[in-house]
This record gives sequence, structure tokens and C-alpha cells, in this order.
Amino acid sequence: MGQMVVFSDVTKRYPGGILALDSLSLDMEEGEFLFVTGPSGAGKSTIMKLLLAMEKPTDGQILVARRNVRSLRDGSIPFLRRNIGIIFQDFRLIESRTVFENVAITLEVLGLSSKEIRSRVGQVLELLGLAHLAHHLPPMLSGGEQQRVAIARAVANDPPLIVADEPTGSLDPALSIDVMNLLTEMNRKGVTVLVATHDAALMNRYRSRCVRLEKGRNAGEFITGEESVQAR
Amino acid sequence: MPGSLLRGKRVSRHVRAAAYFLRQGVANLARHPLHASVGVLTLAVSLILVGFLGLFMWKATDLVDRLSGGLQLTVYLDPEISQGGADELVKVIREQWDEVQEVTFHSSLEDQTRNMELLPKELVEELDPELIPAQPYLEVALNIELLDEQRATQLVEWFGSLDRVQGVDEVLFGSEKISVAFSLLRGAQSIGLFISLVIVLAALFFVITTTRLIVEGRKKEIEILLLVGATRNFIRIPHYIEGVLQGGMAGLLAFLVVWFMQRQLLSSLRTESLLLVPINLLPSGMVTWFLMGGVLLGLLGSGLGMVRYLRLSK
Repeated sequence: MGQMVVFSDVTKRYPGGILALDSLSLDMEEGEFLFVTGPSGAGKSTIMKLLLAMEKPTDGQILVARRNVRSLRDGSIPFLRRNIGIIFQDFRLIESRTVFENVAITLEVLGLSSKEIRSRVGQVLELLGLAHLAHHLPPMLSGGEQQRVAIARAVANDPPLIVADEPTGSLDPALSIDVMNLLTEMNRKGVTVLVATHDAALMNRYRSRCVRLEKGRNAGEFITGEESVQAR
Repeated sequence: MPGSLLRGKRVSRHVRAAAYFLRQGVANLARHPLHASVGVLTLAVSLILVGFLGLFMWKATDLVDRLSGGLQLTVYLDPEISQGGADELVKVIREQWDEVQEVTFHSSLEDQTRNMELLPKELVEELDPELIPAQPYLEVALNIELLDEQRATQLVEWFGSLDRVQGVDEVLFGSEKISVAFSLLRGAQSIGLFISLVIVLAALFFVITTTRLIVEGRKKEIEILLLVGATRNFIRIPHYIEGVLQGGMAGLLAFLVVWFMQRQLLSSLRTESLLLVPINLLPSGMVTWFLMGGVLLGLLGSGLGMVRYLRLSK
């Protein structure tokens, strides 16, 4: 198994001198499930932005699926993003498009035929229990349903990596577990999953490696779901 | 894989992409009815303004053309003047003034016929033809577009002194008519220029501002598309198609509004008996110009709005 994500001494400094990441190093194996945790402002969201090439690191190297994010040309960024399924706390669904259309966009950008798109979206919606909502608009759905749609969109094109930024932040505990179960299910199927969250209780329901960030630095790693925190 | 098969696949992918972009362009109009309506109305208002400007300019030029076409001098000649003397005078006038469009000689008989036509029929029947005044004259048509104010003054002076030349009886010309024509021409030109500048700037401002607002309203949608791996063209092309469709609709709407207004105007003029001859203020083919203008404005607006936004977003 190779490495899916590699951060080597990554520093990110925003204009105005704000230090978001400070010589951060972390890596993820293909097929791994990793939590990234830490208080607000620790740098969790910056990791997501760097992975998606929404920002470029000030220093250090980032490899995603063997692509060097730092040296990517603007024109190549969309092709990197097609390998990453992205899930946000606020769902980021297009409100004027139906559930079907929201899920279909990840396949439309790949240039698949309408027939292929119909078939694939149908399968994914069925898998996530959303088939009956296919023609509904996002504002007509509950928070849990909207997050399911976001997950469906993230997995529709079978990406090797899924990154989720506080995916349960807007959901009640029952729905949060439901969403996490879906993500672990995807991971069991071989997808690499990175979840940024500060919900310790939720993390402890699953046994997985977790990186704790503090002030943009790797403050330690441990395995969630165990009684004691193990420093690695 | 054989080359032809590869080429076929590539062509089919392009056709599929084109069909997709067209579908999305149309779908976007349905998805954002408010944005689409605002866009179409903005473009239509701009086109109506530009359309009226065009109409105004065209009519102003037409008016000046007609006025200048009717601007002429009449040089009454001595009844005893020989044909050679008249020809010599015609030659002198033509050589002296480049602004002279045409000089036409009319005989005494023609003058008499013209005068008879001006008199009531009953009077002409009872009147001895010998008593109707008649004398040969020259009609001098001027091309006002070639005249400047200085030349016009020289021309008035020169023709004013012509009655001292042997064989010339009297010169009739409206110097005030020349001044009016000049004022109209100058006025139409400067007003037209000013109005066109204001209207074109207003139209562009309208279109760009509205498109920016529309793009701003779709910021979230564009950001999501970028995050799921859409290329800039994937986002841009349906937006351009949407702009073209909106422009086309706006062009048609603008044409219908202008056509309806001219119809109402002409019908009320006819009712008031102010207009007895049928005229059409909208020349044929105008609908094509409105459509083309709409499409161009729509494309320009969507292009400018989108370029700026995509340049700023990652």
C-alpha cells in the first residue's frame, strides 16, 4: 500500500502574518481512516484547503495521490479535485438543483454520458437511501438528509480519497452517528477517509488513528476508541 | 485502437459536451427565473434605449438630408437672355462653387406652366395666358454637407451680388434657411453624440452591474462546482450560452416594444390627421439588428461578469 496524503514540514502563513500551520508533517496510507482534531484555529480547515489546492503552502511539500500540490498549475487543480470527495459541515449543496443533479455534477465534470450518469447516480442514491428524494431540492430536506446528499456527491465518482471538514457539526447526535457510519462504510470499501472534527465523543465511537493539532503543529497522535491516549 | 476510432470517440465526446453545455445554459434560465428575468429586462431596456437612439440619429440625419436636399437658390434671368448667356452663367456658377450640386435651367414657358399650376383652376380658365408672369430661371441645388459656415457666408454674398450681372434679374434665396439647416445639423450632431455616449455608457453599466449581481448570487454554486473538479470552461460555457439566450430574448422583447410604440405613435398621429402618408419608422431587418445587439450585449455582460469572478476564485 502506498501513501495517499503526505504533508512534509508544511507551513502556511496567511496575509497579515497569521500562522495557520507550522512545519506540520503527517501522512496517510491508502485505505486508512484518519481523524484530525484540535481546537478552533488549530489548522484543521487549513489542511482541507491545502489538500484541495484552494490555498498553496508557504513552505513544505504536500503530496495527494502522488501529485505535488505545491507545483500544480492552476489548470491542473480540477483534475486533482476529481480524486477527492469533499464533505463540509454546511453541506455546500446547490440549492437550485435537485438531489439527483447535485450528485450528478461530479460525474458531469468527468464528461460521462447521460446514461452512465443516470445509472451511477441511481446506484449511489439507492445505497445512501436517498432514491425517493432524487427530485427534491436541498432546502426541502432535513440536515441529515442534506449531509447524506453531500456524501453521495462525494462518493459518486469513486474517488480514492474523501475529506470531511466537521461533517457532523450541524447534525444532532443520532444523525452524526449515521453520517459517521456511512463514512466508515466507505472506508471499509477501500476509500481513504480523512475527517476533521473536534467532537471527541463521536471520535471515540470508532477505532482509528487521530492527529491532534495545536496552533498549527502536530501535538501528538493517538488511537481513538481506546481507554487511554497513546502517544506514538 | 485504430486512429479513426479514437477520432470518433473524441468527436462524440465534444458533441456530448456541446449538448451538455446547451442543456445547462437552458436549465440555468429555468433554475434562476428571477436572475434570468432581471437579466433579460436589463438587456431589453438597454437595447430599447440604444434602439431609440438609433432611430433618433437616423431620423435626424434624414431630416437634415431632406432639408439640405430642398436647399436651393432661384436665379431669375432677364426674359431676353440668350441660351448662350444662360449656359455661360450655369458654367460660371458650377465652376465657382463645389458645393453646388446641380444647376437646372427652366425656360419662360416652364415658368409659366409652374405659375399656372399654382393658381386656382377657375382663375386660370378665365385668365389670358399672356397676363401670367413668366421668365426663365435657374434652379441651383446646394449640398449642405460640403458647406462650412465660412463658405456659406461667402456663397450668400456672391449670389447676393449676382443680380448686378448682366442677364440676371433677381436672386431669391433663403439665407436664414441655410442658417437653420446649419443649426439643425450641428445640433443633431452634438446632441446625437452626447446622447449616444450617455446611452451606450448607461447600457454597458446596466449590463455589467446586473451580470455582476447575478454572478455574485451564484457565487456559492460556482464555488461548489470548482470544488468538485469543474474546469473554468465547464463553468463558463453554460454561462455564456445563458447570456446569449437572454440576449436573444431581450432583443426580441426590445424589438416588440419599439415596434408596438411606433405603431401606437403612428396610429395616434393618423387619428389626429397629422400623418396622411403611410411611413415605417422601423426599417426592415431591424429585428435582426435587435437580436444581434442582444446576443452581443448578453455575451459581453456574461463574459465580463464571469471573467472577473473566476479570476478571483480558486
